[in-house]
Amino acid sequence: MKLYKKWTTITLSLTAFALFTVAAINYVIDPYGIYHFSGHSYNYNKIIDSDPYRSKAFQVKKYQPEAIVLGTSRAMRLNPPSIESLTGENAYNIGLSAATPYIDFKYLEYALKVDKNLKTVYLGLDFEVFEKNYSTHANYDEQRLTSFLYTQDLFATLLSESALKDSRKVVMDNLNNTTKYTEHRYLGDGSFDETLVYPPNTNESTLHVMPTSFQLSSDSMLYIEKMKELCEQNDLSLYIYISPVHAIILETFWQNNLWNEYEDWKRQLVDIAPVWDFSGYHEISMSSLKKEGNYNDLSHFSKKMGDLMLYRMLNKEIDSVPSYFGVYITSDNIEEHLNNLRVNREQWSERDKNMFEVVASY
Amino acid sequence: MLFNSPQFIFLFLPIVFVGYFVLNSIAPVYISRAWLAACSLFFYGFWNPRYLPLILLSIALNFLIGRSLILYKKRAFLIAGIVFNLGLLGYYKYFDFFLENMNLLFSTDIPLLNLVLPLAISFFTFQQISYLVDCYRGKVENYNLINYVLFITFFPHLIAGPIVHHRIMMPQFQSASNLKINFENIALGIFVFSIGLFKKVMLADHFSTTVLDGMNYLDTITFFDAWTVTLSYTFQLYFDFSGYSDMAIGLALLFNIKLPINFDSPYKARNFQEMVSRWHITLTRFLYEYVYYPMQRWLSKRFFSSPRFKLNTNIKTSINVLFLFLLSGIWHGAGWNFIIWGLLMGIGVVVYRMWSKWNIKLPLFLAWGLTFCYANFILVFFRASNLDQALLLIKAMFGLNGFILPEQLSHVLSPLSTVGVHFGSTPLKDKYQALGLIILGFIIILGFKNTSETMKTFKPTLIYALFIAIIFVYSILNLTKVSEFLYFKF
Repeated sequence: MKLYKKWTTITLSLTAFALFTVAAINYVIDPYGIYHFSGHSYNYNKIIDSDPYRSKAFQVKKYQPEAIVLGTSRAMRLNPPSIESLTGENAYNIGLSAATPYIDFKYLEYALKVDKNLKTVYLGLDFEVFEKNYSTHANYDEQRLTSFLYTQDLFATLLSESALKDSRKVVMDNLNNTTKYTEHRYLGDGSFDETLVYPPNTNESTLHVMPTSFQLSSDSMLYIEKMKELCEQNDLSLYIYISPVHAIILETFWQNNLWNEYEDWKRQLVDIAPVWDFSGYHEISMSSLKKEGNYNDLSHFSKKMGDLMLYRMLNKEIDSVPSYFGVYITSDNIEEHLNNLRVNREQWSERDKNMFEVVASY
Repeated sequence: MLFNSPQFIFLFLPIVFVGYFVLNSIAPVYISRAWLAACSLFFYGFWNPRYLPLILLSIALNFLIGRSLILYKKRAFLIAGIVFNLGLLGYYKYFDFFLENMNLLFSTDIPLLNLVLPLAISFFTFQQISYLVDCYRGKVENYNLINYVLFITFFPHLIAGPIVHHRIMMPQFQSASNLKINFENIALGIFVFSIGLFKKVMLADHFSTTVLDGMNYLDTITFFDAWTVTLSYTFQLYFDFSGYSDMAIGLALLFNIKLPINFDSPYKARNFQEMVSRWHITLTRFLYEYVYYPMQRWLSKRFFSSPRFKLNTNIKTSINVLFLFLLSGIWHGAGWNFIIWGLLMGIGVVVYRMWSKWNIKLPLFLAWGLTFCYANFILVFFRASNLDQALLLIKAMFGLNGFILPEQLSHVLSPLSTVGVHFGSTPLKDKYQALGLIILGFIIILGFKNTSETMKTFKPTLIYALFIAIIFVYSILNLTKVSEFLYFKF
C-alpha cells in the first residue's frame, strides 16, 4: 500500500509541477493581453487575433472604471484618457468588433455586476449591426458574462497548449522585433491603437461587406431601450451617439436603397432616447481618408474625431468643435434633421458615383 | 458536467473526493453516502437542472415499486413499473419519431413536441428496469433509499454508463471496507482515468475534426474521402466511448467502487459475433439477460411451439438475434438509421453463425479485415443524421462519385489514372493528417493492450508515473475545446 501511496504522490506532484510551470509562463508572458498590459520588451506586442471579447471582460473587472464605452470597433476610437481628462472619471473602452445591441446589453449587465464604480456609459450606435439577421460574433460567449463558475478563460489562457505555443511566438516576435505572429491592436485602456498598419485593400474590403438589404431588428431596438432602463435604474449617466461614418459609407446606404431604413432607424432611436448624431454629409465625413487624419480607415473614425465627439457630448472645449458636428436629435427635431441630411448630400460632388472607384483615390 | 472539463477535474472531483472521505471518518455512513448522491445530482443538473425533478421522480417511484415487489411479489406491480419506465423513455425519446412517421404515413400534420432528451434517461431507465425485474424474481435484498439513489446517480456511470447492475453495485456501496482511502485503488483510478482522458481529448476529438468536415460535403464526397471520413468516425466512436468508460471506471475506483468493463478491444475481433460481444459489453449483457432470454422463452412457449410455426433451432435463434439487435438499434436513437444499423448488426451476427456452421476457416487477416470493414460500413448509419445522408456516404464508399486523389500524389501514383483514378483537389481538409491519425488508430487498437488488460499488469513504477504525468498534463493542456461525448445523446 505504501508503494501505491508513493506512486500517487509522485504522479500528482509531477503533474502539478508541470501544470504550474505552464501556467506561470503563460501568466508572465500573457500572450492575449488579459492579465497585465505590460510594456516589457518580451511581450509588448500581443498575439494576432487575440480575443477582445475575452480580454475586455477581464479588464473591466480588474480596472473598475467609472466610465465605460460600449459599441462596435468604431466605438474603440473614443479615448478613455480623453474622458478622464474631461470628466475626471477613469474610463475603459469595451468596444467590441461587430457587437450587436444585445452584446452591448449583456456587457453592460456584466459591467454592473463586476464594476462597483460605474457611473457613466457612452454607447456608440452603428446602423449595420441593427440588421435583423446580423450574426452574433463568433467570439461572444454568454456564459463568460453570466455564469457564476466560468473557468474556461482561465484554463484557455493559462493551462493550454495553444497558450503555451502563443507565448513562445509572442516572446520570439518581441525579442526579434518582428510581427509575424503579433501586433499591437488594443491598448491597455481598451481603445484601439491607431499606430496599427492596416493591410492593403482594407477600404475596398469594407465596401464589400456593406449591407445590400436591411430589415431593422426589433430585438436590437428593445435592447437599446433596456440599456436605457438599466442605466436609469442604476443611476448611470448615459450618452448615446451615432458614429460619424464616412460619406462613402453613407452613400452605399443610399445607393443600395437603404436610406428609408436608415432614417427609420434614427426615428425609432429617438423614440427611445435623445441621441447625439455625428453622422451626415459634412466636412469631416467627406474629408480625405488619406490626408486629414479624421479616419483610420473607411470604416473607422480616428481618436481625433472621438475627442471632438466627447467635447460635443460633454459640452467641454466647445470652441474646437465645428458647429455642424454633432446634432442632439430628439423626437421634436428628427424630421428636420433628416431633411437637412438629405439636402447636405447634394453638396457632395462624389455622390452617385461608383464608390469602389471613389474609395481607391479618396 | 463533463469529465473532460477543467471544472470537473480541478473543482468538482477534488471537492467530492475530499468531502466523501472526510465524512466517512467523522460521520455516520449514511451522511457520506448522501453527500455522494447529492454531489452526483449536482453533477447531473449542472448543465440543465430542468430534468432533475424527472430523475428524482423516476428514482422515487422505482424505489417504491421495488419495495412493493419485494414485499408482495405482484406481477401487476412489475408491469406497472416497466410501463412507467418505458413510457418515460418512449415519451422523451421516441414520441416525436412516432409522430413524424404518423404524419408521413397518413399525410397528417400533427405538430412535433420537440422535446429535449433528458440526459442519461436511456441508461437509468435500463438500470431501474433490471432492478424491478430482480425484485420480482426475489433476487434483491432490501436496500435503503440512500444506497438506491446512489446506485442510480453515482456520477461516474450516471450519464453514459457502463450500465451497472445492482448485484454488482449495492454490495460495494454497503461494504464497510470501502469507506477508507485505498491508495491501490486511487493509483489505479488515476492511471485508468488518465488513459481515458487521453483517448477522448487527444484521439477522439482529433478524429472528429475530419468527420465533421467530411459531413459538410456529402453531396460531392468521393471514394477516398468517404473512406477517410468513415474510418475516422469508426475510430472516433471507439476512442470517445471507450475513453469515457475508462474515465468512469477510474473515477469510481477513487471511491473504491469497481465498475464493470465496457470494451474489450472490439476492433481486434475476427468475427462479428466476437466484435459485438466486446463492444458496449454492459448493454449487450443487459439485453441478453433481460430481453433476449425472456423473449426466447416466451417465443418458444407461445409461438414456436405451435405446429404452424415449427422452425429449426437455428432459424429461431436467428430471429431472436435479429430482434435483439433491432432493440439495441432502437435504444441508441429514434430514427430509421438506428433501426437499420441495429438490423445490420443482427444480420452480421446471423451471417457469422451460419458461416461458422460450414467450418470454413478464413486466414486471420482476412477474417479480421472483413469484420472490421463490415463494422466500419454499418457505422455509416450510426453517424448519419438521416437515411439520405447515410446513402450519400455509402454511394461514395462504393466509388459511385468517382475516385480523386490529391494532386501531389500524381507523380507517384500516375498509373492509377488508367483505372479511373483522378488527381485533383477535394474539399476535405488536412487529408494527410487524417490519414496519419487513421494509421495511428490502427496501431493503437491492434498493437497495444486495451485498458482492462493494462490495469491487470499495472505496477506503481516510476516509468508508469512519468507516462501518466505526461499524458495527463498533455490532455489537460488540450482541454480548451471541451466537447461532449458521443454517447451523451443516447
